[in-house]
This record gives sequence, structure tokens and C-alpha cells, in this order.
Amino acid sequence: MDADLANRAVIDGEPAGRAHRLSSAYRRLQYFREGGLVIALLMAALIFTLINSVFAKPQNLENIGSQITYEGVIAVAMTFVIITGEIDLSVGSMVAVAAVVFGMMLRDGLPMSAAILVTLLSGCGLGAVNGALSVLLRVPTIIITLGTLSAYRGLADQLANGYPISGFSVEGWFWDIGQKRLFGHVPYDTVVLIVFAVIAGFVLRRTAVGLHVYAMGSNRRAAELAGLRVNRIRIGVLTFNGFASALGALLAVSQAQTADPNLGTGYELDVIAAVIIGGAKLTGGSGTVLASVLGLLLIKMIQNGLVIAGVSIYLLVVVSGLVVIAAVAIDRFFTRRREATVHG
Amino acid sequence: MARASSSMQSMALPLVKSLERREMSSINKPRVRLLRRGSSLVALAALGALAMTASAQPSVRHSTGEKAGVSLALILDDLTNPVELPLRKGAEAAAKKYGFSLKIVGPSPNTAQAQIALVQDEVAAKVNGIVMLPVDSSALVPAINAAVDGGVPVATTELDAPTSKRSFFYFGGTPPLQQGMMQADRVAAYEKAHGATGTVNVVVTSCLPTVTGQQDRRKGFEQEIAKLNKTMSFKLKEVAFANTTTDPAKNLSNIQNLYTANGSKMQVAYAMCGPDTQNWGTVLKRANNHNILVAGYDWLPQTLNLIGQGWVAWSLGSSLYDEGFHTFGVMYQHFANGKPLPTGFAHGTSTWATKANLAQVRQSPDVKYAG
Repeated sequence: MDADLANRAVIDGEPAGRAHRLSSAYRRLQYFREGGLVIALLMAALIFTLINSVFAKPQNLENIGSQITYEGVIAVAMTFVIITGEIDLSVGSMVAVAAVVFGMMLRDGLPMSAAILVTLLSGCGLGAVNGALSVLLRVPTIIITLGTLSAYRGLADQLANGYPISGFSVEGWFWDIGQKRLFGHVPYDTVVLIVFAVIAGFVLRRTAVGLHVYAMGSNRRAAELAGLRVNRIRIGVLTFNGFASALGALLAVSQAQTADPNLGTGYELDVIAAVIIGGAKLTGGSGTVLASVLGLLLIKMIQNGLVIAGVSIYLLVVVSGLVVIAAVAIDRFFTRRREATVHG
Repeated sequence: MARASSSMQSMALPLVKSLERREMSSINKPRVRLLRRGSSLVALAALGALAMTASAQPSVRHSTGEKAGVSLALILDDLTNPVELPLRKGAEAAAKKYGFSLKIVGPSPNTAQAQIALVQDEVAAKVNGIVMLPVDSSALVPAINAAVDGGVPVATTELDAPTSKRSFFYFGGTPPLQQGMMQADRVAAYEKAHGATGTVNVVVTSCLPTVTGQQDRRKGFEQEIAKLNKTMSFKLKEVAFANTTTDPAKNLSNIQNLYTANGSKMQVAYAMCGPDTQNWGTVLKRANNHNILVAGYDWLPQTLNLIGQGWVAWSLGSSLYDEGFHTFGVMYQHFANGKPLPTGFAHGTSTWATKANLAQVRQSPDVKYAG
């Protein structure tokens, strides 16, 4: 931040002019830490629009906004987990359990608000189990969640008997979240994601809780010696991750109108990829909520654009991976330039 | 971020120096507190372990047969495919009727390697016979042959491994290749009746494009289209083929994207999976688009609702309940009464679910047991 102010003085000191204003804007974008991702997103959008103008139509952009929501809320919470230097592989399975629990509550006649509350609490419980096992057994979270990934999926199948839960009405305010749009254009589930991300981002960047999360990820030993309760922080972020998985499950169920034990398949890969693309380090200590959400937006936009461009399904996976690599390369290019300027 | 870490370091350094003098006691205190709270955490972990134990073998389900003399196993291809629940119910009904012991297992993940291990496990457990749905028609051949050579006859249903030593294959509907042809014929007849001219664009989707049954459905459809195009006044043309995946939310997203890309130029959606059929109907309903024909498969409850509302034209269903009931009935008769096992391939007939016969379809065991 101090470096930004210093450089702004230099930028502001330069003579005005169109070329200089563009150059100035470009330099400001560089210093905006998510600037690289924004550029990658804009370039991808431009390319797909040139291939097929349908990409830029409001209906398609609204669809993308809705499609990133259920994984987006999980990516927000996963940011906290990865900043602390941990990884949770069980998010997809927690989504499945939460979806099934929600369906069962509705089928058995529980009021909607109560069903939502029980579902969110179940997610918290699953996340807390991950954290507790990791602390008690002194095993890295990635190993614990490698096991709970299967265990929770099996639990979802067991509860649902392997079949989507049905027998409940899909009319009402909850189902409107996944189906309807605010002012006719902004999907309600996108609003949920934005509110969740803003609150989580504020907590991460502006509160002591966030400071402790970064501290634990930056230097665990120093954090311990400074009196931080790292085990409590670990359990806390994993519980939050469980809560976000349950929230993601609710958004997915609202969209798909089915409480299916198949939900959540592969979500962990998308979410972790989004957070890493957003610039977080697997070793911990860095990352932001905004960057993670932009990372997921990039992944989903690329998948959407490739379908609209008519890429063959067999090439789609290959091209999708290559485009993600290119996007990360662009982001890293701008990050290195910014760091080189800041550190002289 | 730089501010956060630098402030932590500036806090930590003087603290480290003072804490080093009391390091042992200051480090032990959190551990002591953790131990005191350990009992509640242990209880929590125990509860979690109990839940995990309860679900540790989600693939295993036993039927309580009255006679334990004959023991048969059903090895599914996928524990979570919603379409196969009626098949399980049919098997359980057969077990109840004939009084044999039934074990139902399935691979998780649904890979050939996992299913091969299950076949070997059931042979080792000395079941009398196996009925299975091979995940892969080639990869399971050695395991099936080993089971048969070891004295455990194997029958297949819904999916087949035709080059193996399995006794017989029973399909509770029209074979997938013929299903594809039937769909092409019905689409062509519909378009002709509605005065189609020029080119009729078709988008084809599958949630499991590498599965043999899905490939046969597509092959049959394409072969029949090629044949019909030689004589029709209009042409059916496949303009896109997509993998929609089995995750319900991603399936819906993929179909939304396909509709965005092709909605203005397509007239037919040929949905080869149950979830695809349901989600095409859902997407068209949201878009209030009555101009696209959805030709689908399977009788998921939401699909039947969409047929009733007019968003899905028809859905072709096979009787998986019959697959479970009939196949196990034949197996039981062989062990109980010495009736020789049939060989080769036998099948039932698939049925169209349309608005006209919806009430009747809803009464079938395949719909009743589908939830």
C-alpha cells in the first residue's frame, strides 16, 4: 500500500496526454493486486466474443454469474484454509451430505428456515470434525480430508439410499434464489455470493481474525510463540469451510431443484484451482477473497466460452487446461512486474 | 499482506526472547488445555468415527432371505446412479419371493478396477451366483471368466460384457442401439408431421459419453438419421455433441450453456441420459421456449412432471425393475431346481412415456420405486 502511494506521486507528476493517461491507467492496473486476473478475464471475454457474439449477451453473462455461485462460496472459504497453509479435499463430499440432509428435512416436513439452519449446522459439524481430527491426530489436513472425502460421500449415499431425495415442493422464496433475477437481470444467487464474499473479505483483511489467519500461514512457529492458538484457528477455518460447503449445497439445490447425493462431484478441484489461480500459495500466507472469486470466474468463463465456441468435447478439456495456464501466466507476469517495482 | 507479516515479526521477536526463558511452561500450557478439552474432542471424533463406520460399507446391503441356502450377489456399476434404484428393488423383490440371500455391492469410485475387486471378493465369499452390471465391457472380462472358471456363474443385466464367459445377458428394454434408432424414427415422424423443411438441427447430450450403452444410443441414432435423410424431404443434422456430467448442478449449467450457444438454431435436443432429459426440459421451461423438441430417456419424477407440462415430448424407459426381478429369478431357479441357465441375450421392450400415458407410467414399479 505504501509503495502504491509512492508510485502514485510519480504517476501524478507526469505530464497529461492520452498516451500518458493510458500508460498511467496501465500502471495503476499493475499495482492493483488482482490486476493480472482482471486483464486475463477481459482478454478471454474479448476472444470469446469475437468467436461468437452470443458470449457477451446479457443472458449468457447472467448465466455465468449464476453458475459460479455454488463453487464461489466454497472458494471464498477455501481461501482462508489455504492461507493458513492447509488444504481441504472433502468440500465436494460435504456438499453432497448437506444437500441430502436438506432434502430429508424438507421431505419430512420441516419448515424451510429450520431446514436451512440444520443444513448449515451440519456443514459446520463436518468441517469441525475435519479440524478436530487433524488437531487430535496431529496429521496434516490434506491427509485427513483425503479420508473424509470418501467417508462423507459414503455418508451421503447411505442417507439418501443412493437416490435423489424427492417428495417436496419446489415453490417458494428459497427456490426463487436459484431461478429468478433481481431487477430481471441479476441472479439472486449471485447476490448471495457477492454478500458472502464481501463479508468474508472484510473479515480477512480488516479484522484480527484475518490477521491471525495470515500470521498462521506466514510463519506458524512465530504465530505460536506470539501466543496465537493455531489449533483453534485451524479448526475454525475448517468449520467455516464446512459452513460454506453447506451454503454452496443450498445454492446448488436451489438451482437444480434436486437434493442429490451426486452433488459436489469434483468441486474440490475447481475450488482449489480457483484459489491458486487467484495467487494464493499452497504453502500459505497469501491470498485474497477477491482473487479467488476472480479465479473461479475465469475458469467458468473459459468453460462457458469454449462450449459457446463449439469446441469438441474431447478437445474441450485440453483447451480449457491450456487457457487456464495462459491466464495464470498473464497474472504471474503482472504480479512479478509489480513486485519488481515495489522492491526496486 | 506485507504489513501483516512484518507486524507479526515485530511482535514476535521480543516475545520470543522473553518466552525462551519460560519456553517449556508456556508451550505446555496450550497442550494441557488441549488435553483437558481432549475428552470432548475425542467424543466428537468418536461420533464422527461412528458415522463413518455406519457408512464405511455403503456398497453393501443385505436382504434377509428366509432360506440362506442360495446366496446371490448383485454387483452394480455405480452406487449413485438414480436410474438403477428400481433394479435393486426388483432384485430385493425376487429375494423376498424366492427366499434366497441377496447381497448388493457397487464400486466406489465407479471404475473397472474397483468393480474387478468386488467380483473377486464375492467369489472368495463363496456366493452361488453373481448378477452384475459391468462398468467396462472389456476390462471386466478376465474377472468374469475367472469367476465362471471358479464355479460361480455370472449373468449380466442392463450393461453387458459380451466376449466374457457370462451365462446370459438380460436387458429390460430394447437394446441401446435399437433405442437410438427408435428415437431417430420418432423425431423424424414428429418433424414430418409438423411440416419441417430444410435442415432440422439436433443437439445431442450425454452425461456418461464413454459408457457403452450411451455410445450405442448415439450410434443407433446417427445411423438411422443417415438412412432417413436419403428419403426425407428435410434433413436431420447433428450440430453439437456434449458431455454434460452426472453432477446435477453442473449438468444444468452445461445444458444452459449449450442452449445459449445453439438455442436459436436448434430444433431438437436428443438427451441420452435421465438428468439431461430433465434439465433440457427445465431450461426450456425457464426460457418459455416451445420451439425445441426434447427427446429423452428414463423416467425420473421431475422428467415425468415436465412431460405433463409439455416441456419434454417423450422419454423412452426400460424396466430396470424387471431386470432385477427376472434375472435373479432365473438364477434362483437354476440353483434351487436345477434348471439350466440360458445363454446369449434376451430383452424386454422399452416404453415411451408421453403426456397421453403418463398416469399409467406413474403406476409402474420403475416409477414407484424411483422415489
